[in-house]
Amino acid sequence: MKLPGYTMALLLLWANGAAAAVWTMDKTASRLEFVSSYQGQPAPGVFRDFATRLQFDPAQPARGTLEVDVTVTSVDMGSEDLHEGMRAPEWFDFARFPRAEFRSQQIHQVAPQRYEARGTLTIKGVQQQVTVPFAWSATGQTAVMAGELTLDRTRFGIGSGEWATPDPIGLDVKVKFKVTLRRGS
Amino acid sequence: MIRNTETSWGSIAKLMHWGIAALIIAQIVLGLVAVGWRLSPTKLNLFIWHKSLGILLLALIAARLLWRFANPTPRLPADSPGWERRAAHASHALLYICMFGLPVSGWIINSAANVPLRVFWLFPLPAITAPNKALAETMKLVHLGLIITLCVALAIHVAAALRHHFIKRTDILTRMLPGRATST
Repeated sequence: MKLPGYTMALLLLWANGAAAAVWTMDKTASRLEFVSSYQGQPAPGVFRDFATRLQFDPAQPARGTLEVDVTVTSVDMGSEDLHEGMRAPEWFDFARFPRAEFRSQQIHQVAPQRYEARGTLTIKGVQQQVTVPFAWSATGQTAVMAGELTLDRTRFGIGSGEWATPDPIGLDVKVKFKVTLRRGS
Repeated sequence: MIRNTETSWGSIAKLMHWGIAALIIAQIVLGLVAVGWRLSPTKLNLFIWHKSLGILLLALIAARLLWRFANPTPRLPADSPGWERRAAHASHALLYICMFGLPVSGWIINSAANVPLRVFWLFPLPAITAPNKALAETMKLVHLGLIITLCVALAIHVAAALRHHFIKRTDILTRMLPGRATST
């Protein structure tokens, strides 16, 4: 069987373990949000500054890598009182841990257009293995990855000591993301 | 008697007078304790109690004012001089202004600070203003000003009632006490 030259070239690249396509985040069209709770009432917020670097081929997810860096201090809950609270050592400890990150080299498909990235989430200096599910939809050179997961804040020491109680600030925090990516670096 | 007459307070008015009085005292103490408590889950819960009680008081005071309008207000003693009548009306108006202004300003603080609240852990309180740091700070001063005004008005109210009872020997105080339906 004779294959066209570019197919051969592609196969050779794969065989050599070349990196999957590089995707760059469109900052203005991407959001990283969370919903904490107060007395069981939703208390939403957003991280204004974060960056996503993705190498990903939806047909070959196992070759992908996902790196997310979050500027924790860019958090915005629409309340200066809450911002002051989050700054404290018992909460996010801005002074010592201004950044959080997620690193995954294990991406696999779970359903059509649905994937999971297993990796290490580091918040407040605490590393935890988490699985981040996401939906992938690409049109041409643009793709959107979106998903949500729920984290127990006490796993990361967020709200430590006497705050490690669900009353009135709940333990579970839902993290939601919608990241728009453009092919190419 | 349930309703007021021209000379006596009915049981509803008495119950609301003393019930709200007790709740207001508890509310002032709760607010002071909550403000002074160090930042902790306990402090947040003290504020949840304070805010919840404030919303309850707002509803009770609204009901009380409606009841007041729907009933005759017992007359002041016939020999009260004009300045006493004006002072009585002014101090009662001031009490009502404080009783409404305190929960409303607290509600605005809570809304402007963008803090959610479930009243007595039962139902969510809607925000009445958008998040606004400057407004929250201004309303905290208004809240403080109103609480000082309320304490002054309460002192005048109590002093006037005691003066009527012990010095002027009128039934102003006793006719508000439970179980004294008739005026002498």
